[in-house]
Amino acid sequence: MKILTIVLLALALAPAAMAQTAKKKHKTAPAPQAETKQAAKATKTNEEGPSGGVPGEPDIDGCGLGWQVTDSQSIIGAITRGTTNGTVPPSFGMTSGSLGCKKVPFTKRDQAGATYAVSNYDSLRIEMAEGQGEVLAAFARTLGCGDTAAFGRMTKKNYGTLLEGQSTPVRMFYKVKQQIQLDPALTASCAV
Amino acid sequence: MTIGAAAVLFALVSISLSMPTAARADAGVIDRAKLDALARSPYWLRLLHYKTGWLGHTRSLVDGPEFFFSKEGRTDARAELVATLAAFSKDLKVGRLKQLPQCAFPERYRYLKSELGPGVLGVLGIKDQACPQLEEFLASFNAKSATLVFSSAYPNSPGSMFGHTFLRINSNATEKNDLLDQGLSFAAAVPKSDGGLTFALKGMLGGYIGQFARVPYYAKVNEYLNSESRDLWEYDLNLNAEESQRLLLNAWELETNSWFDYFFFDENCAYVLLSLLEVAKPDWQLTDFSIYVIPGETVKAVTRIAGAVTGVKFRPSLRKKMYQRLDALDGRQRELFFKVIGGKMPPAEVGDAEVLESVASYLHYEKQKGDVDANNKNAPLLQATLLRRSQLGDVGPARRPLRPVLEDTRPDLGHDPYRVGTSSGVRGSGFFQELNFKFAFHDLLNKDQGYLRFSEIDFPGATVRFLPKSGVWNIEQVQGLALTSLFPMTFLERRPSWKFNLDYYSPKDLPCTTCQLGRVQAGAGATAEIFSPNYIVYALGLLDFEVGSAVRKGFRWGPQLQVATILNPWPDYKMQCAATLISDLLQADRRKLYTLFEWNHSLALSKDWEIRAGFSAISPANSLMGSPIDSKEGKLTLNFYF
Repeated sequence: MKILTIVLLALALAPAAMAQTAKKKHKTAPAPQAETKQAAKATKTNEEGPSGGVPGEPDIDGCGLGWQVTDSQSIIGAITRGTTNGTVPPSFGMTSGSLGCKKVPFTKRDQAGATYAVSNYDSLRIEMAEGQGEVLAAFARTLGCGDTAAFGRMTKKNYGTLLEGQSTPVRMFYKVKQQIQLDPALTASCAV
Repeated sequence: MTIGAAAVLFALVSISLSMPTAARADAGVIDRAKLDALARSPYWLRLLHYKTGWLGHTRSLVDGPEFFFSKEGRTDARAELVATLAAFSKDLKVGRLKQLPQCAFPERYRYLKSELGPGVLGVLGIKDQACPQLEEFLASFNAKSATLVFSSAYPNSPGSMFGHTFLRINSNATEKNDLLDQGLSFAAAVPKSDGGLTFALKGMLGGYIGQFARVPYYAKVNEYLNSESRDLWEYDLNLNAEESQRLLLNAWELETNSWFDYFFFDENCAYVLLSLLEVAKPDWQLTDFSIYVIPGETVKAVTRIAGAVTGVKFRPSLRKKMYQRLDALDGRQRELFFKVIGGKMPPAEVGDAEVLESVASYLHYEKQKGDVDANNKNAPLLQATLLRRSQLGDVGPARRPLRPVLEDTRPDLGHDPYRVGTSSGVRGSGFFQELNFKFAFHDLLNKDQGYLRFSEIDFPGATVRFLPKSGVWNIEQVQGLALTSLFPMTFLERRPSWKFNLDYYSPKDLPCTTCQLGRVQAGAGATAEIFSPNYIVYALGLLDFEVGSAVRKGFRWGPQLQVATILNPWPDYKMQCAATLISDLLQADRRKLYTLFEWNHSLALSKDWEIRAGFSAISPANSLMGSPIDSKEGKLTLNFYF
């Protein structure tokens, strides 16, 4: 009975599953490359351009943001990254999209904020321009900022500076940190 | 006399009493009755994920042998208890992390310690050990409570109506932001090379292993709300910090030592998460499902427990939020919106923040489709739009009120999946009675609350008809699978609607009353809203192929054209009116073309009771036949969902 049901349901679900997988593929495949190209370009500009980098910004070595984005981290995370490969398909328990880059030397303190910026870049930019929102408030938290409203006003006011040119999430993150330090009230409310 | 000495004395006495029957010398210090009681205790069985199957045999659902210290551990909970106690006293390295047994199985350790007392453990040579990796894992959650999260279907994909569930572990942070909590999900580990059919078949037959993953909740929100345009429903559970921690500890035991084979239909994300909740809450009974487990049904299972859910929160998809913003624009603003996205007006010249926010929302939504070329093209426009938006003030109270986002996908308010029903009707001059049953799930006439609107996915089911005059029972229909997606086109999105149907049915255009044909139909078309999202009109072109001895040559085929409307003026009531032009190309002795008219009503009386009235007629068929068939039919149906 159970087997019969499973077979019937199998027939039933196949097209749906196919549609989903197709969609997933479509979604995940091209994105990292595009981002990488963009980021690589940005880094290059940064090296050659007169404006220079942002204080504290690590050398991303042209790898772009792909390095940090993890679709999903195994529950045991980094601890087992080397050891689980034998038993676990490579799409899990590993940093996906590392694209063979060097590990980026973030300080432990910057890790949460920078990772957050990479993962939420699209939503974050919109809310930075509007000066408010849940995604932006959480970003403020990762920087230890208690006054999220003031943080939002700052990002809106300085949007042009924070995201000028071909920005990247990591660049934006360091510029936000820099901007906080220029604002005494915000510096007091944040723990950067 | 110290406690330790007392324990030793107790142990010696116990050994002398229970020696002959003790399973192992190590566990012999424990009274046999106590050991038996522990091995049978519901909590111990839950920690081992023992389930009683269809044939009455009890075994653990955990598939990795390293989850058990005893060779018989998968079927013998007592042997596993004895072996676990023995292992705790040894300097072993177990599991993927090569941990000490009590670090690999911290919840078993906690439970046994609390049941047996530290004294007995001491006699057995078991000491508390430091578990740094486990501590780090627990600290990353800082668990205070837990939330069950349900994701609704993708637009235009009825197959995804089953949804997906995962947990959010709410942290104890002082100023908490949900996005920064950790999500805990259980999913099939699918190699990137497996696509399409491989994925479906392996998933069905347990070809993948299921794994837990810890993911920041913001990443989950991005994945579902933004990338996939699905709604999220958050059910805050009545779990305290200790219970949430128990859940995490058991997940740790499972993930660092073992795995479950992943089956799409029963051992899936939803089922395994419920098993974890049963560990957190020993008095909750959640995994009594049969045949299949649908994530939405597991949400219902939780909400059925009094007091289990303390709050429900809705996060609408990016798509819904985008349309919410666009809907609020007036004619002039909408004109401006199209000028900007069409590249006819630079954002820098726009002074209307609402228009700019709508443009940004639209471009954000478009970006999720992953079209690299389009995204590279749109990137400067998005950047210019956001820069301009940042220069304008807050929209503030002048903002046009946004129409509330439709909260139509909340799963626990939806009807149940199984259906049984009875009908009475008239066909020509004869009465008939019908009985129907189906396993699942949702059709076009069902109330859409909790499901994907104007979509259908129906699984195996059957309808039989009894004709009292002749005393004949007839198979009216055996449903294999029906899938329909009616996706209303908007001024921004033009996606096709489509339909697939596989069944065995009793045709009404033939002169036989008890004959059947196997049928497969597939096709596509378009759907449009008429003035309101509650009224749609659609047209579908279908190709129909039927086999059976009731038709000449044993099969027939032909294209069909269906034009129909569905009106849903109130959530509880739906009316469908359809005309289908059917061609029967192989027909030689009567007309090749005829039309099927259908007029259906459905009224939901409550969540699970429903009345339907249907009328159908075929015309002008059969005029070349000797005896015309009376093809007019009307019936009244009462359905119950369970």
